[in-house]
Amino acid sequence: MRFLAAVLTLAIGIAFLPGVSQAHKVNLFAYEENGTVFTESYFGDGIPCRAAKITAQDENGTVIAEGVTNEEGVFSFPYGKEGDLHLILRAGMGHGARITFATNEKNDGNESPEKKEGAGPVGKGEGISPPVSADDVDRIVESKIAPLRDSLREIQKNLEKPTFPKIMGGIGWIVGIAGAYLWGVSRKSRREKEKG
Amino acid sequence: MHLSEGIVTATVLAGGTTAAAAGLAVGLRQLKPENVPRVAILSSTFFVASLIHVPLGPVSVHLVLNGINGLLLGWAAFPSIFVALTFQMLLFQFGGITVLGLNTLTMAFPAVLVWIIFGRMVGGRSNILALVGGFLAGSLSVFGGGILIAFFLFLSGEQFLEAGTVALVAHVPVMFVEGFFTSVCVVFLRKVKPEMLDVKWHSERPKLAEHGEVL
Repeated sequence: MRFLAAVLTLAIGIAFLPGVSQAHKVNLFAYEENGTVFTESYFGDGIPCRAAKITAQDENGTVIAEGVTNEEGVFSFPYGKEGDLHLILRAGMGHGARITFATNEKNDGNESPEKKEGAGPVGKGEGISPPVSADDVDRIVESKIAPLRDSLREIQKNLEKPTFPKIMGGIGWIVGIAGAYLWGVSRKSRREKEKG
Repeated sequence: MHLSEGIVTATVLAGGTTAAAAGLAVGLRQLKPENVPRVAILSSTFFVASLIHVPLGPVSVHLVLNGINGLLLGWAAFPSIFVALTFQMLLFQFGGITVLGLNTLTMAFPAVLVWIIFGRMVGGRSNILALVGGFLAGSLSVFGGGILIAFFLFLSGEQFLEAGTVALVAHVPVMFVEGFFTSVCVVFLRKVKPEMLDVKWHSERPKLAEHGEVL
């Protein structure tokens, strides 16, 4: 008993390490493309959450968009403003996730000066090509990084999948705890026998 | 079936965790040393079952297997499910540390309940009754878990009644799958190792010396 308690205390202690208890079983992923916010939800093993409810709130808690995910676990809604969006996923039976997603569509105060700086010299310095607007840069960059983002998401998904070694590790732990428990019981009974 | 962190209120968390701790204590008290390997095996089964999601109709579901845990372990389903959930949490971030007790309760309590109700049927003389009992135990243990989750969310002040009904309806298919699986297990065990289904309420604590000899 005491040994089992010790093992469990240790396990719970590990759980308090930063990061471990943060994640959820259901993953919610969001990105923005040309004024549309895309959300993608999937379970730990990479299977999309279908027909799960997504609620998007702005910083003040006002509901901006609400809807259900499609076959691929994707739900998208148009949103052209800057600022933080709170995305809440309810996949039923207590499965849920909540993320904060910063949108930086065009009007973003932090980034627009940089964009202008970047776009300016191209137009002025060359003198030959027509000036490139910030919008154009946005679009070009967007189209270039889209496949990158897809592969990143793919990698993220794969990382979160329960892998075979992890599963075997878990089973090993469970068997190990049972063994430790039995060892404790047998030791105790032997000691009692010696005494009596 | 796993509740995520940050969904239920502190009161519900505290109450659920206390109830789970009580169940765990009863389970450990009634756990005979010679049954520990059985608990470990069922715990591992439970641990793995939740990892396999099957797309079913509009939602993805996974087997819970708390019914078979209850039928084969009785009160020891509490420690079995608790250990499995602990490692699901540590290795795969299912649920979370604060909701560990609550999740144990939502899955282990229905398991014990179906064992109390259907245990006799499953271990009884009639094959047909055992089949029916196994099916009902499997499906109702999932249903009970769903009801408990809906109840906790309702207590947490969410407008969950509507969403909960939807989710329960969505779990009807998995109830059938679970019921079918449990009754198959029951029928198989009745043929191969019928004494496994005869889980008694061991109220007296076994004398350790006796079991030391067995070991």
